[in-house]
Amino acid sequence: MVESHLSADATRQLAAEELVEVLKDCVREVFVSMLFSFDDADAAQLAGDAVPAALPTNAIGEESGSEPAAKQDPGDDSAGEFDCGIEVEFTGAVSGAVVLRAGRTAAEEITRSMLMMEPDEVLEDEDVQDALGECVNLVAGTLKTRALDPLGTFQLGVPGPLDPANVGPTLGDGPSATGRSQVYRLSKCSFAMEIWTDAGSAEGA
Amino acid sequence: MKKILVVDDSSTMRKIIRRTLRQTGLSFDDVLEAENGVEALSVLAGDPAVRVVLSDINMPEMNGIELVTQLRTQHDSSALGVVMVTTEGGEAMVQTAMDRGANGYVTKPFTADAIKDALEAHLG
Repeated sequence: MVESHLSADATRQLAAEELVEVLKDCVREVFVSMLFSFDDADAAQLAGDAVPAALPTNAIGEESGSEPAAKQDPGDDSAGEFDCGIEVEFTGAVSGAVVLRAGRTAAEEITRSMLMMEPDEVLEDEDVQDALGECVNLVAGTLKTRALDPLGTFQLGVPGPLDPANVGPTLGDGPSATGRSQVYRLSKCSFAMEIWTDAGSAEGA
Repeated sequence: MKKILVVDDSSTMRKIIRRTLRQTGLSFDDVLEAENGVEALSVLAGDPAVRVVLSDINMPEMNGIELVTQLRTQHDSSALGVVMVTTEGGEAMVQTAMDRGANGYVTKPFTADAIKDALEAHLG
């Protein structure tokens, strides 16, 4: 098994150095291929080189110094204020979760784009939950293949709602402080796609 | 009649696959849906016009590996194409699926071309 010769330090270092970079690639791949309102400019933002609300990242397992994202233009619903969240847990040499947090506008924009819905089509809460869950599932699956599987045997959970106490209201709050954050912007709103790791999970590798 | 059965526990993914199938330009008459392997077996038992199954792997009740295994060992499914469509991209899972009788393997996120390539042989 690959993980058998990885020390805890090596696992931590691999995770810390690679996971967030891979996460950005995974988000870009999923959003460009599965969200049909995205154009080249959106793709450039998803690449991480033009994300105005990008946060400083922190070593996984260490306390975060992330600051809430600055408020953007009027009309932004949540450049750092979120009211819904979905997570897909992963377990293995490093355990944690891939998390999407978003305000209502971003959640609806992602859903409408994935389902190719017209602006006047009624959007049910169930549609939003399922679409966001599938979005996180796709990102987590891609992340697992690219970054986790080379570290050993990992299992993914099923998408589920984030504990409301962990949703927000801002980046850097609650358990997210033990992970890494990257904020992505849609056309008029923001969402955060993050990797949260369980404190000390790398030591058990 | 040429029908396609989409098996996925996510309604969002079933809608995405439906839309992608339209984008492929492939010729088929209808798309049926099931939420898991158990439902898929029921649909297949009642509709011999299904030519190909597009199945997720990680599903409740009966997963995609169990589905293809049952189809190949307990049913006359030699003329039925089974293509796995999943986020599970590891080589071991691909090998398992093919060993159990899958005809193709597409990793999510996918393109219309990937779906088209996997289905063409079964809808010709």
